[in-house]
Amino acid sequence: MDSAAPKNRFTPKEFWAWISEVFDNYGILILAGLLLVYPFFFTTLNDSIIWLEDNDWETSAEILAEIRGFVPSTPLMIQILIYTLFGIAFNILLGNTGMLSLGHCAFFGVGGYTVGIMHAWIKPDTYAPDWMVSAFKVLPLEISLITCVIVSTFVAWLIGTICSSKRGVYFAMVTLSISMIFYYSAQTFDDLTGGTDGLGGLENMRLGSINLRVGIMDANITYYFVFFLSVVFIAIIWQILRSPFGHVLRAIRENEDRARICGYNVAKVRLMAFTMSGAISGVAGALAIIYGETVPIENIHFITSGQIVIITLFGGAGTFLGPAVGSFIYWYLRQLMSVEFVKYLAIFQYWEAWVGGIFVLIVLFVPSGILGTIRNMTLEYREKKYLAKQAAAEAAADPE
Amino acid sequence: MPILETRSLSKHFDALVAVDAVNYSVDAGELRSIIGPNGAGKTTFFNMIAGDLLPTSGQVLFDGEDVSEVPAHERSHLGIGRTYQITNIFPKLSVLENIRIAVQSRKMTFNLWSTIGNHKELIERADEILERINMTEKRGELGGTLAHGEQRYLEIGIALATDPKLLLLDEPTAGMSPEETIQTGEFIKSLADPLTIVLVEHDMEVVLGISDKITVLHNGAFLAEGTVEEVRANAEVQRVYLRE
Ligand SMILES: Nc1ncnc2c1ncn2[C@@H]1O[C@H](COP(=O)(O)OP(=O)(O)O)[C@@H](O)[C@H]1O
Ligand SMILES: [Mg+2]
Repeated sequence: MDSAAPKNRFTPKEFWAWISEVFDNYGILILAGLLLVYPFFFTTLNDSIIWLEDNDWETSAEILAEIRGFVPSTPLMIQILIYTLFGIAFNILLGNTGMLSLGHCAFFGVGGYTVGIMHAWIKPDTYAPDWMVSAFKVLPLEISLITCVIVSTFVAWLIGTICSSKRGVYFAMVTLSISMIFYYSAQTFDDLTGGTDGLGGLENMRLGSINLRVGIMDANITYYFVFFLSVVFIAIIWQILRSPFGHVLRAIRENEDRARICGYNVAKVRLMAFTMSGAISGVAGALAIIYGETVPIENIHFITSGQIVIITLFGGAGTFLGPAVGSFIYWYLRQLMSVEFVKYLAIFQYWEAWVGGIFVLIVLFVPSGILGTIRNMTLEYREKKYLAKQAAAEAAADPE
Repeated sequence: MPILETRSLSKHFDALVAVDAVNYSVDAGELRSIIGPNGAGKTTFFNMIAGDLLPTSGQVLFDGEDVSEVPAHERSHLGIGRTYQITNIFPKLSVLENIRIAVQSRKMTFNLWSTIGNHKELIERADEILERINMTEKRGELGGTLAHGEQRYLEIGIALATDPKLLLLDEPTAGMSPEETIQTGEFIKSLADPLTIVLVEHDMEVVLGISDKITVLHNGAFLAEGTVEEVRANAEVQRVYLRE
């Protein structure tokens, strides 16, 4: 319109604003699309290496194999997906309600043990009822997963009634101590849980309805199984957080006393949030044992709670997809250091220390996490742009 | 029947008697004031009426019902709204969201499967409130970035958005300039009837023109109650309070 000042559409800032706009609106869809084709990508990469070798392109094959070391494998992506779901469920509390739980390993572990114990114990020659054997041969995964949802919801509700009335540090300490009880129980009842060796010998895990074997035999199928369930549960969380209830959560995070005097039953809302978070963490815990077909006791150990705190803060507790970013960075870095970097520098075998160091740096210098910082920069940029526009409009309206 | 009544309401903090066997009664539609020096127990008295604190002894009756042990959030639903002496808003939510969350509390809490966009009536009601507190233009700003006086108005707006029958205002003009104080006094007057208002003030001048009745609180006990003139004329009040 103003021909004297032609618009340059592609200044870098415009470009970044456009990118973040697109990411804001379609980020979840883009991410889901990429994740949907990931196994194809990785399988193609593997196949190309084999093809190159078969056709005597030794050097190219070697180079590509070297590159593959830096590409997350499908099993690693399974792990990343699971911890994304776990982190987003955990963030119902941390990012949205303002409750830092240090006991989420209890739910992650209980979810895993529920499915694990059922598959380890309910076998055709032991407890599996006849109808199940004749219909599905083995215990179908649908039944163990539904049981897992019920059990983890109940456990989360039970723990929630004990600790969700606590605040701040007390809440963190109580959740931590309760999760310790779960860990020691898993250790003590080793007949049932396999104790410190982990629980193995799970009867092959099959989706009864479509007679599909998932587990260590096929990473791609397991990936899609995990992907599908993660997407479903992440979508559920997304809806919950945008619902009127989600707004109540954030009001409580911002000012609990004000929310209460506005008439909200804060104790009940906190308990609800805790139960949802714990129940879905239990589902993540169930998914986490499927590819490995064992339940390692570490899943119910405090270290798992620490991991999910780190992952969520890495990505940004104030954003919905922060835990996804955090999960990717955490597992990818861990893999790179302990498998690739360590080839060049032995010191990288202590990857925990490196990840811990990076964590400290992030907390110190980008306290809102990676996605949170990007979000803040974008908002700041938009605000500036908006103000400039307003100033221009005012100047135009008032020629003096 | 009075809308609010307290019967020998007391609050002890260990040895300290903050509120001492207070009998108080407010009729619907009245605009009442409680004045008294700092530490007289005004805020503690409010805390027991709204449910932030439970009394050591005595009763709070609201609409003829004993609510002494009723939790604060339920009293809000019975129709008791309040503001605090120290501004108490949602600083990181926008002005509109501050009001809307209060409006929402009347309609839904555990609504998981819709979105705010499905409930236009919440936003419409919030906009009505914003107009009433004269903050329509600020609706997009964060509560915490407003000027002090605006935050005080926003907090009144939050309280109004919960559709109270009784509104308790704890030193609403604290920290305001003299002009703002006069304006706010008029604004409060405009809210009264059918709304019942109890106003706590440190400073008598604020309440002079607007109150139906003034009560003087001193050391946790009522010293005098009456119209402005009656209270002014009271010798004891003059001794402990007005001469300050
Ligand atoms: N939570 C509390 N714990 C202990 N003492 C308190 C508490 N709240 C108020 N007090 C004391 O009770 C007395 C009355 O306080 P308050 O009700 O705030 O008075 P006012 O609002 O009239 O200035 C003061 O001496 C104060 O120190
Ligand atoms: Mg006070």
